[in-house]
Parts: sequence; structure tokens; C-alpha cells
Amino acid sequence: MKNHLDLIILRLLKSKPRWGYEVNLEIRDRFKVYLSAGTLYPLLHSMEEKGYLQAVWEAEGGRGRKVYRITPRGEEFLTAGARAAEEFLRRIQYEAEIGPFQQKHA
Amino acid sequence: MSTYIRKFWKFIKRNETARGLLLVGIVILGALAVWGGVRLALSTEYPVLVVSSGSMCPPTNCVLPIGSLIVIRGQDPSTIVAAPPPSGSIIVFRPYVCEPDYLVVHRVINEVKDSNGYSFVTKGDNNGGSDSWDARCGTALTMISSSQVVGVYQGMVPVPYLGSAILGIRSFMYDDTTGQPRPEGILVIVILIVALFAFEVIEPSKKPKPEASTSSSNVQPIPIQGHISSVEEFPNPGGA
Repeated sequence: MKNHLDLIILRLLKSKPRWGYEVNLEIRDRFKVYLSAGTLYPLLHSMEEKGYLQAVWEAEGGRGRKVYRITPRGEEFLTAGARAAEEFLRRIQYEAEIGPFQQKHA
Repeated sequence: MSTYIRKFWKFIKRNETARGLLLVGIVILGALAVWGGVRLALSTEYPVLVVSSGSMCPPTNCVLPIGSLIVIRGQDPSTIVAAPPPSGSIIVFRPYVCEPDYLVVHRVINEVKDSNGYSFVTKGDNNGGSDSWDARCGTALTMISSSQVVGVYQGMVPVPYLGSAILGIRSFMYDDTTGQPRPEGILVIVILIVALFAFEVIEPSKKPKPEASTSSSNVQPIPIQGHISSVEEFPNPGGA
């Protein structure tokens, strides 16, 4: 699951813009994985640098927080990533189907 | 006691592997001693750090560009200055006490002193608002207590590209999206270790050859007047 963390984050932000900790809580609820600050925030920064995300500072009761939204470039990356993942699933499905022939050896 | 030292010294002089190991040990101990000394002198656990994000680098007035190698020092909280840039102290702190490895470097823009001591409001010079820290360790915070402060920014290590190189090595060693070591990184470390041992194995076989040739051809130091003092080896009494 962690290998596709960037895609998961992009998918979550495609449904609606969120701030970092919201992303954290969503991932915890859906995937039962808790991301450390040291994993999540540098990743959000690097995705922002790559132009997949855009961060906007939102003031709330005098303190600020960064709200992330997906960019068109991020959407492109998400679509390409999703296609690659589907392709992978199709392949392992195919491997599973032709599996019994290989078992003849045993 | 001194006989043990003499014996040990003789052993070290004769045994090339032992000499190598001793040298490696001295280098490692020396490095640890220097690191410990710097930590003690600057009274902080992390005296030197690399800046990994641009939050302290506004385009017009960049203070800490990404890849800066910074030196910090543990200071009494009362000496920390709370003010807008450029006068407020820049501090390194742990925003999340339950994740002590996660460090942030931001400027102190406000402070509060109460019965619990000092607390600080921090902000990245390049950020749109002051910091707030999420509830991953219990409750969300908008202030940093003095116990979370690791050190106060003193200055930069003026070695260009070193910080960036460290960041580059880190991103080569660790996967950016998972924080796990990358196979390429592990491979490089394994290759380095193997290379070290390979040298250790190859080297001894090279060295004995010249020694063997000198003893077999029975070449002995010829005492030349005025140069005797420079010859320290005893002529082999029995020959080869």
C-alpha cells in the first residue's frame, strides 16, 4: 500500500481539497495505516514541488494551515498511475489463470 | 602492565590485519569523540542539521535555502527572541513529542511565559500563517513549549553543496514516498563493504613478495660510513 501512497493521496485530494492531517486521518480510516509526520509532510512537499499539488494557506482562528488541492498535472499523473495499476492487476489475473498448466511439473 | 603494552605493540607491528583493525577503531573512536565533543560544547543533541524544505526561504529574502547546513546551540529559553523577521530567533524544535525524529526549523514570532515556563508561537518566513500542529500526539497545538526546543540557529556551515549532497544521498538511500531504504541504496552499501574486505584480502598477498625476495637473495644492509644510523634493521644472522 505504501508504494502507491502518492496515488492514494492524489485520489483523496481529487475528491476534495484537504489539509495534511485530514489526509492522514482518511488514510488511517480507509487503509488502517498510520503515517508519521516524517513520512506524510515531506511527501506532500515533494508532490507540491513536482507540481502535482497546490498548497494554499488558510487562516483559521489566527493560525494558519496548508490546504492541498490536486493540479491538472497531478490528475495526469493519477490517471497514468491508475492505468499502470490496472495493467498490473490484469497481468496477475492472467498469470493466475494459466497457473494450473505450470503446476503439472509438481 | 608495560610488558603487555610492549607485547601488544609487537603484535600490532607484525600483524597487518590487526594493524588495519586498530586503525579503523582509532578512526571510529576519534570521529565519535569529535561528535560527542561538539554535542557537549553546543549543548544540543543535533548540533548540525540540513534544511530540507523551503519554509524559511521566501523568494525575496531567503534565510535558509534548501540544502543549508546549519549549526544550532542549546540555549536558555529566556534568551530566545520573539519578533517578526529578521530579528526573531530561528529555532529547531520537535512539534510532535510522540514523533521525536521529526524536526522543524522556524522563526519565533511570539512568546508566552506562565507557570509552566516559556511557550513559543513559530512561523516559517515563507509560510502564509503561524504554525499549528495536528492532533497526532493527542491534542492539536499552536505553541511550542521550551522542552520541545532542540536548539537555536547560530549560523551556516560555509561549505557549498555539502548539505545538498547529504540530501541527495538521503533521497538515494531512502524512498521518498515510504521512508524505507531503497534496494539501490542497500546494494551500494553492500558493494562498499565487500570492496573494503576485498582490499583487505588482496593487499596482504602483495606485500610479502618484496620481503621474500630480499631475504632469499640475501641482501643485507651494507654499512656505509656516515649512514649507519639510518639503517635500523638487524642483518639476519642466519641468512635465509
